[in-house]
Order: sequence, then C-alpha cells, then structure tokens
Amino acid sequence: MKTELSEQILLKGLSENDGRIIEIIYKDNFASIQSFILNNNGSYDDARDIFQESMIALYEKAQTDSFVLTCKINTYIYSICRRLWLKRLQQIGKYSNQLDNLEETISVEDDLDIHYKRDADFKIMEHALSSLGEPCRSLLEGFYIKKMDMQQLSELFGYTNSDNAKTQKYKCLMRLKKLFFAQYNIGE
Amino acid sequence: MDDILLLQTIERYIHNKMDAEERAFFEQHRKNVPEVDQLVVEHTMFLNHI
Repeated sequence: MKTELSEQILLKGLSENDGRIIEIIYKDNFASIQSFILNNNGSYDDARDIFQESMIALYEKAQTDSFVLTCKINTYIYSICRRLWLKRLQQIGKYSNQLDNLEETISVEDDLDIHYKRDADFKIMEHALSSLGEPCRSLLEGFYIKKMDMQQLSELFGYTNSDNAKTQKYKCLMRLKKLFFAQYNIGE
Repeated sequence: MDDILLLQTIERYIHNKMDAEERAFFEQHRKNVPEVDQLVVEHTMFLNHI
C-alpha cells in the first residue's frame, strides 16, 4: 500500500518535471488506462493520447499554489482519462453510457474545464507566435522561454549591439501581444 | 526608448527583481498612473501564457 507521503513525493516530482517520477507514474497507471480504453472502442494510440493528456492535466494541477489532491493519484488519472475518453467518444459519435467502473472515479469537471481553457490559450499563443514570423519568433522565444539575455541574443542573431536587439525585441513583443490579445479577447 | 524602459521595468517588477525601495516607488507609480497599472496587469496576463 502506498503511503500519503510517497504520493506527495510523486506529485512534487511531477511538478518539477522529474523524468524518473513521470516514469513511475506511467508504470503505475498506464496499463489500467490502456485496458479501459481498449475495452471501450479505443486503440492503443488512443490510450497513449488520453493518458498523455491526463498527465498534463495532473501536471498543471500540481503546479498551482493552492494544489490539493483529494484522492489517490491513480483515481485522479483514471477519472480524468474516463472523462476525456467519454468526450472523445461523443465527438466521434460512438458514445456509450455503459463505460465501466464509474464507482472508482471522482468528479473532475472543474479541473478539466481549466485544462481545456489552458489548452485553448496555449493554442492561441502558439498561433500568434507562428504568425509573427522570423526573426521575431526566435528572438522572443530566446528571451522569454530560453531566458537568454540581450547580449547573448544580440550575438546569436548578429545584431551589431544589444540596444538594437532590445529595440527589435520590443517591437516584436508589441506585435505578438497585439496578435495574442486579438484572438484571446474573441475567445473569452 | 521610454516605452522599452517602461516594459523592462514592468518585467523586473513582475519577476520580483526590485529591491524594497524601488518596489515601493513603482507601486506608488502604478497607483498614480492608471495606464501603467493597466500595462502591469496586461503584461502579467501575457507572460502567464507565453
């Protein structure tokens, strides 16, 4: 039997993106998700997809400050996967209300709403970044995601000095914000 | 250049890279200038998504 402590260690590891911990969670859970999906009109690839998405949902949850998991990790992942798979079946018109093991799940609607919202926001940002074009996109990714400083970026991109790179980065950022918020506001 | 400097300052503020005195000064500035206040809110939201 797993203690609460080891569950806490797993969640902490997940929130820090620790590969070994992710592997453990995968080994503990994937088989049951796979058999659930295979038993309910799905394929191995579906199982991988759905499991991956549930891990992202759990990761997002583990990263919030107010994070509390009121059940075991297994139950949480199973509940998320079950809900995601039901939704997927509804989308492709194969909905069946005879999914098994309902009693083993908890309500995850609110978490999934947050997950879908984040996913949608992420797509908006991805779209905005890709319509930005180069070198703007790489310049902003270098600064905001890879956390490089202006001197490094200036050398990498071949600007004559870091002030010019900074001015360019600013112009790119203004364009990106405009693109992002235009879509974001429509989505709200 | 002023806009660039303002944005840089806002990012330092959001990322907690100001000392107490500068932070207090900037917070007062936010209170006095609604446009700056709005920029901080907007940029925080934006950085959360990038």
